[in-house]
Amino acid sequence: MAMHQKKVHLKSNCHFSMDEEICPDDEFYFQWHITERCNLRCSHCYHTKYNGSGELSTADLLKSADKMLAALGKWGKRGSFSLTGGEPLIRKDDLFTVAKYLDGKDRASYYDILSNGTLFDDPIISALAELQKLRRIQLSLEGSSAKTNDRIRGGGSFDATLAAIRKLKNAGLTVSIMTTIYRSNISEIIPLIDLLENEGVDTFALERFIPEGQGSKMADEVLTSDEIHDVFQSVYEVGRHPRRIRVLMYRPLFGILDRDDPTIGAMCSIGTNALTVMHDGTIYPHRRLPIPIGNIVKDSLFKIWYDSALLWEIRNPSNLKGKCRDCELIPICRGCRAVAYVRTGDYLGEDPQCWL
Amino acid sequence: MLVIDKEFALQLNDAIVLHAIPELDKFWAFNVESGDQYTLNDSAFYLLAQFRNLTKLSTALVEFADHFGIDVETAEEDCLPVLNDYYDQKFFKGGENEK
Repeated sequence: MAMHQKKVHLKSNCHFSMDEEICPDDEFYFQWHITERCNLRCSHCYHTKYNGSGELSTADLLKSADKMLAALGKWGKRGSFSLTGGEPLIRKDDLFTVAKYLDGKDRASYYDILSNGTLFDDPIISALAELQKLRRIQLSLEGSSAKTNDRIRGGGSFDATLAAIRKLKNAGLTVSIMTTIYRSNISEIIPLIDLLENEGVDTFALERFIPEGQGSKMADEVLTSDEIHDVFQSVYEVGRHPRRIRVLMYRPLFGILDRDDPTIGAMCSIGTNALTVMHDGTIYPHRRLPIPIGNIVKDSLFKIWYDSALLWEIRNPSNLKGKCRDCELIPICRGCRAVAYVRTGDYLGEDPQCWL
Repeated sequence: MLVIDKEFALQLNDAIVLHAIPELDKFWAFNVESGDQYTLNDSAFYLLAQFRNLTKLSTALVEFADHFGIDVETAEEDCLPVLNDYYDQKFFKGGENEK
């Protein structure tokens, strides 16, 4: 502290850039739900309502984009966006308005569109192909068979998604598949990766099922830590080697499998490099940690990011509890705060699915 | 430039918020309006934290000296130039000085 015996060191390191300790990456991620309306009712969905109540107007969507871009500029970060819903193509005019707006902004690095894949007609696919900064279209499948997938996503959705994949690939678009893992589909994950590779899908990623929203009725499908370990290990074994489909393993807990592999694992993004913006402007720390910390239209984004008590609680690793608190992997993992919250009621609790 | 009068009272601008993770030796000030952020050390953080409420310079300097185990004259020598810098950067409310 003291520079020498009688002086107190006060000002050596005052600076103005985004602090590396808060936001270590050069990218900041916004998951942006432009609507909650959806034409499907997937039984594991984290949403509870599917109406348009409170949806931001087109003008407010663009104002929101300006706020996000201004923050990125101040922080010197590149922005990545997931434009999603509900089903974002239900607001296709607004979706394309936002996407084209981001196309024209230097701070927007790229965006993905997260869709259920049921609404892609030829004009929409042509319009998608014209977008400048569209990185991927992300669709979802829950298994390698129609039976397993459609039990969750509704009859016919497996075939519809495969048809969408083929249309999008034929148009030269990059396609990703996201799968939520739970007890009834874990035996189909590896066959699904093989199927997707054969379909020409570019990337595959998985998320752990968290029983919230509609999915709260499926609590018996939540995986144990041993089951999670087994799935992650098997996915790592097939994904670690180069293949046509890239298996993305940037998720907490993956890093435990091989601490020397920099291509897997990720720090929980809450409070470090991401925010979720809901259809009505409500901001969550993460979509799967649905605790409001502000509103993009009504509040200063800087105020939310710099002064949210919840974010500061999570940023301080000494606040974590259970085995996460003393884990040597805290600097690179921190567990999933959303899983902790939904399963234990405490977002600072240990990640109950960690196998360590 | 802040007039160096120890009977002046200062209070942080409403836009300035202070946060710390002492366990990691990390201290910050943020301007929630402009988006500017400032990495501090523990002593600068402690000094600014004295002004979360309207506080006379003299009171803050005594607190600072006591906390860091230095005499008040040294605290003045250390702190006043720094406070001037922060004053110039609009850390403090304008017109809030009271004799």
